[in-house]
Amino acid sequence: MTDHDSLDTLVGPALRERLNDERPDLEHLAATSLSAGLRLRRRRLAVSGAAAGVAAVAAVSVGAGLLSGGGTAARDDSGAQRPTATATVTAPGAATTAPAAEGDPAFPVVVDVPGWTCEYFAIDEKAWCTRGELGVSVVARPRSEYEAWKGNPDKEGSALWMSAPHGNYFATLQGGEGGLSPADLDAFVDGLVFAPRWDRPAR
Amino acid sequence: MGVKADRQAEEFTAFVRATGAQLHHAALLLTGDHHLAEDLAQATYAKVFVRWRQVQAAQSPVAYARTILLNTFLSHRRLRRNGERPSDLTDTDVGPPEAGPDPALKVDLLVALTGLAPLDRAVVVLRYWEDRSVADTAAELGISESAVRTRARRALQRLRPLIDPISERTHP
Repeated sequence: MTDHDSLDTLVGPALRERLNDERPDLEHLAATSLSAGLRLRRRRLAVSGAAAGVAAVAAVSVGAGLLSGGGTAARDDSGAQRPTATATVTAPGAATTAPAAEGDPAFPVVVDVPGWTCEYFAIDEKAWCTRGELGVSVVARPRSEYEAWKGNPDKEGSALWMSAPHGNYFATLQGGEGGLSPADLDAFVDGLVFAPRWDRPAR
Repeated sequence: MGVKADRQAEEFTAFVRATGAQLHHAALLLTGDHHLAEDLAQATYAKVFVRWRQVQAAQSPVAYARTILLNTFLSHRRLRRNGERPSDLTDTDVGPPEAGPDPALKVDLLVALTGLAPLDRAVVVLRYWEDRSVADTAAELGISESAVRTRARRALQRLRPLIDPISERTHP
């Protein structure tokens, strides 16, 4: 048995020996990461663009009011009707990408939760939903992996929530960036609508 | 994509090719699972891409990416186990060992790592996989140096049954 000091020097080599044969598919990693990174950028641009647009509309509105007469500006300033960036970004009219365009592979879960905006990436087998600073991803997984996930602390335990099997698939919720409360999670789960089967995209 | 965007995508892809194995291995040590490691590495690189200019301008782009990896892992785990705080060092945040002391069980080192608290795993990755100093590890994780030593010591105690046979093979 090795003492602590010598053990200290052996851990690194032991880990390296263990991972020696692990060879990730770097081309796949690069392609999926680039795709995810582009989506993330677009999402951020869309949100900041919507906020900037609303701010610009509000500014123009206030400016027009000022030009048309002093009383209008006062009314604008006091009015609850004036849009705010936050209200507009999270309003029902905010962009919600359809689950799939015609001919595209379909994602089997639809999120129907008031206040949440979701983008569906059927080809990646994921949907990304946001509400303000909160973010949750819905991941569809083949039914064949269900047993490996169920009760596994590093699989089910790493997910926010795991569904029961639905036909040939099940779903997990991952992420929760921004501090999803238990009540938020419950409401989110209640709004999930599952298709009876999943036409999994070819990989 | 335009010319500039194309060039950025090419640079990013080259970066993933050059650093992907290292980060994927770190992700594997942190998660103990191939699928989760893949998800973690992908989420990390997606964030890297979003901040590509900052990453490129960093003194060590791969260190920047590794920090994103660790933060992504720890913030996600913290949501799952919101009782753990970096400064807390109690016996209760290390669960019961999943690896038995009998080497004949051939329990995988990765499986043994998953029996550690997430922050302990991060300490192991930085200290022993990345060969970072105690001070560097403490700074990276935002905990004290004594907390790093304590967590490292506990982790080694847990991993000892698996490391001893390996050391006998590599250092007979």
